[in-house]
Amino acid sequence: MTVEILSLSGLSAAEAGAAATALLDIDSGSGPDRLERLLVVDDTGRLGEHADVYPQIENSNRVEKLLCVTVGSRADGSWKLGLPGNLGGNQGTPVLWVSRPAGIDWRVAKAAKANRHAGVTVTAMDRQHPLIKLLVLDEVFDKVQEVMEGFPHRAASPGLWLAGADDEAATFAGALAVAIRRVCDPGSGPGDPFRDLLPDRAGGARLAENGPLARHLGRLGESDREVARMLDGKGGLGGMLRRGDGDIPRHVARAGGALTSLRDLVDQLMREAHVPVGPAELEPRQRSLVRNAGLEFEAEMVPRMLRPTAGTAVPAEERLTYRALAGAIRGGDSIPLAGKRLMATEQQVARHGSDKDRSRIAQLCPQALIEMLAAAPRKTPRGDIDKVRHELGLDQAKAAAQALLALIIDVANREWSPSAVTSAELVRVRAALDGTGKALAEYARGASGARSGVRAARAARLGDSLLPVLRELVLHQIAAELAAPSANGPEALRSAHDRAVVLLTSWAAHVQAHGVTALPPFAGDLALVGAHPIEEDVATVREALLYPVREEMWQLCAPGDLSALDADADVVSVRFASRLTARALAGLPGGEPVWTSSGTVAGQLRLVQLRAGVAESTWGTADPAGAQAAMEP
Amino acid sequence: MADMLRFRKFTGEKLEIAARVNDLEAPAGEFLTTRTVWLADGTPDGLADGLELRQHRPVPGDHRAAGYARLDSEILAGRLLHQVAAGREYPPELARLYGDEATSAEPYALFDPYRGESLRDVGAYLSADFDQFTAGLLSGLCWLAGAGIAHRSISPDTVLWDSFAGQVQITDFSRSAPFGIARTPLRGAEEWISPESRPDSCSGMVGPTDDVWGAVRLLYYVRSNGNPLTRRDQLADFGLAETFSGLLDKVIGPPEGRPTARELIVDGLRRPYLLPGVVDSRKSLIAGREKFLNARARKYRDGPGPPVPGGFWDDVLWWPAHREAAGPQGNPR
Repeated sequence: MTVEILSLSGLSAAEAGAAATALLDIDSGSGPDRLERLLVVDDTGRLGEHADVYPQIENSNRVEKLLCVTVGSRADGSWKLGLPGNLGGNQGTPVLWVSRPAGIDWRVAKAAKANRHAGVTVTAMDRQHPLIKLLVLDEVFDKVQEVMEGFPHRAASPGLWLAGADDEAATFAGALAVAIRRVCDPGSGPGDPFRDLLPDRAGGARLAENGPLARHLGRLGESDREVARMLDGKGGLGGMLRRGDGDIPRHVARAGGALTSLRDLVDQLMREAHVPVGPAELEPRQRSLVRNAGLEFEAEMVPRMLRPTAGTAVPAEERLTYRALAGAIRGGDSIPLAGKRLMATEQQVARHGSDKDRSRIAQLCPQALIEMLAAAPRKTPRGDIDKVRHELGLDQAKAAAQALLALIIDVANREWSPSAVTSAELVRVRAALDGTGKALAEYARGASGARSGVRAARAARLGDSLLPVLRELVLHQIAAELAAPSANGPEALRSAHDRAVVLLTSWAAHVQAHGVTALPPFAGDLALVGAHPIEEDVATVREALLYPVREEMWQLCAPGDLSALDADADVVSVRFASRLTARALAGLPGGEPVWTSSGTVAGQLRLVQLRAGVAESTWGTADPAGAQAAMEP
Repeated sequence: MADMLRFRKFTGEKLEIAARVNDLEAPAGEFLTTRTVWLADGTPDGLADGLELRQHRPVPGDHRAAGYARLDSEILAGRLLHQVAAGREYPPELARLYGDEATSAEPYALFDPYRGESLRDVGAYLSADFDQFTAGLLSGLCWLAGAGIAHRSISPDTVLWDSFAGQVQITDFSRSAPFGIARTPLRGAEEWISPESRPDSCSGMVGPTDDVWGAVRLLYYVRSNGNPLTRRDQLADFGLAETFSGLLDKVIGPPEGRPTARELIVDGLRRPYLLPGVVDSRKSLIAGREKFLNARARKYRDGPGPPVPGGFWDDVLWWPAHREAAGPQGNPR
């Protein structure tokens, strides 16, 4: 790049002269060796004061090509844009008039109104301003100069339409809306419950090895084995039995006794450890009863040193509920589908009190079976061992014992487990999801009003890239709810909604500050896959280059100065793109753009001519009388 | 914008008081609008900090006459509820009328601000509060029945849940009607309008079982996390049928066979009925209302006409006789 910038903004006449001298003086060595292209940036209000600087530049015979950007509105009340004699006019240096660096969004039409330009607010015309960043590219500088030399007054208002950079906020909003639609899509999934949250997996209940429940089962098994051994010992050919085996009834009765104890203990547990439906939990007395009966829970078996200490809690991200939802949402479940699955899970984890299940005890272990075992016949029935065991009731006793234990484990998982997921927690998490979804939908609705059209394709591509980040936002919300539970569902709904609004706002601000691919803090160490080639995205560049030149663009003009622009005159657009995309963009309608050798920026620089008589070039120094002469009567 | 409001407070006191009015209006049920007003409390900045109320007014335009009728219903229900609650704390389960200006050409009703959010918004998250919700809703209906009023539009839009207080609030009495008058057809989503009130099958007289149809659907809506009841057999879900001792089956049938809210509490939930007995003050009400309707009919033409002599007011007294019970809900058996 060979474009040098001479900024006269804010300088007095003497300072401006000194700055020009420092740049042009060939002896002092303060300036560059060659000045092929010089871009002068000046204040509109000081052009008169700096009038001597421009002839100085011209007369130095050092500058090959000169371009001037003048910044700020015209003098109060003046209709004319007063220019030093060698600026503008039909032979002077081309002048780009930026009456408002922050610009407006404007369509070239007489009746078109100024709209606020979304995105980062630019207040200064420094090297960071997109127009200056563009004009320092040799090829663009030359093209602008060439084009403007064809204008009758060589003065124009610049407008910009940049691929991927000019309206980052709007692009981000549009892309996020695309991602939101995916995340909030009702979907058509089956809505299965989360298996890992169901009591049988989450509860962790089991029999303590030497507890009473296990002992009763052990006794029953022992008696059963003893009977089997005796039957086996007495069995003759073909499994036929002889009469007179006196110990068998005693063992059968012992098995019956063990089953009775087991049944009674299960019944006692379910009766005395019953907790009515509601927020109430097991009382210490009830918890002791459960433990003393020989039930233990995995969560209680964690070594003491590994358990969270008082006052600390398990991090939300390690909670079962979070892990289940994280898997589902990262795996593509939408918010509504995850909510549906939570609802299905809620129904299966709902406690209804252990007392309600007591009626099943008699079905699983009928009194008749107990009586049958207690009254085992003195004479052992004939037949093979299996048949005899069955007739003695031992098979049924074993099955009943197993069923009773399955029942008590099932009840323990659902009703008493300290690690069981509660339906209240699931309701709150579902409400948090819905609150988040509501805020996201509101955001998407707002974004849909933003400029779209030709940017839709880009928004869709970027939306794909933002999707994983958006999912992290949803999970962040779930973690927040689990870490600080709301008092109830409606509160969780409201809180999540409000938090999501804040997160979205801060994400948008983060993007404005650091670019559309910048990851917000809640995304953790997520890698944004597929977002990096945006600047080189050929499709995006093509869209920008084909954007209709008279349509709404970022015009660097104050609303009050729009009347100075000639909406009827031909509007010229300097289209530019990186040489790297030249091959991909070959055959682009409308002729070849300016291929830039550096930078990746692409788009259009729109030059709207000023109305005849607005730009007036006047020879002379800073002269109040001269300035006044330029005023309209 | 400051305004002067002249109205009759629920105590009967006539007030003329400065008020700041929020010009933003929102629909309040059918043919009514609501806006917020702040009554001055005498302090210099009283208009900003004064008592906040909802002002319900008939919509302008073609439906204004219907709006008058809706407003009448709101005022009547509000006054009757105050009568029933006289000497006790006003039931929090029901929106409270603060005052009304019923007879002018620009009538309005003033209500305390509603508390809570509509069940349409939060009904899907109340399964943990279901017992409290059930008790609140049925208590509210008992109070209404005690006042001899059927709400007729119990739905997720008219019933609110205050999650801070854990309380139900029944709002929007604009379609309410006293027991014993002929049912008028109601328009709206069929899932929330009982068959006997739908335009194509409207019949019979308003009674204390009218609201139970919607209430039980609302119970299902809350218990099922926001799903509407579409089939009778769904009432068996979530143990609802068992909770109400099998009474819910009758709710789907014709109004004559339905249990009342009180019966759902006493015979269904098997809980004691806690609401106090209600003094039947309807004869004085009838006389007062007749006077009011005549006065208003004289004042403007586009409002409802005067009552028909010997007309439906006699029917209000019909209902207690019609039911075998000692009275409509309020009198414990």
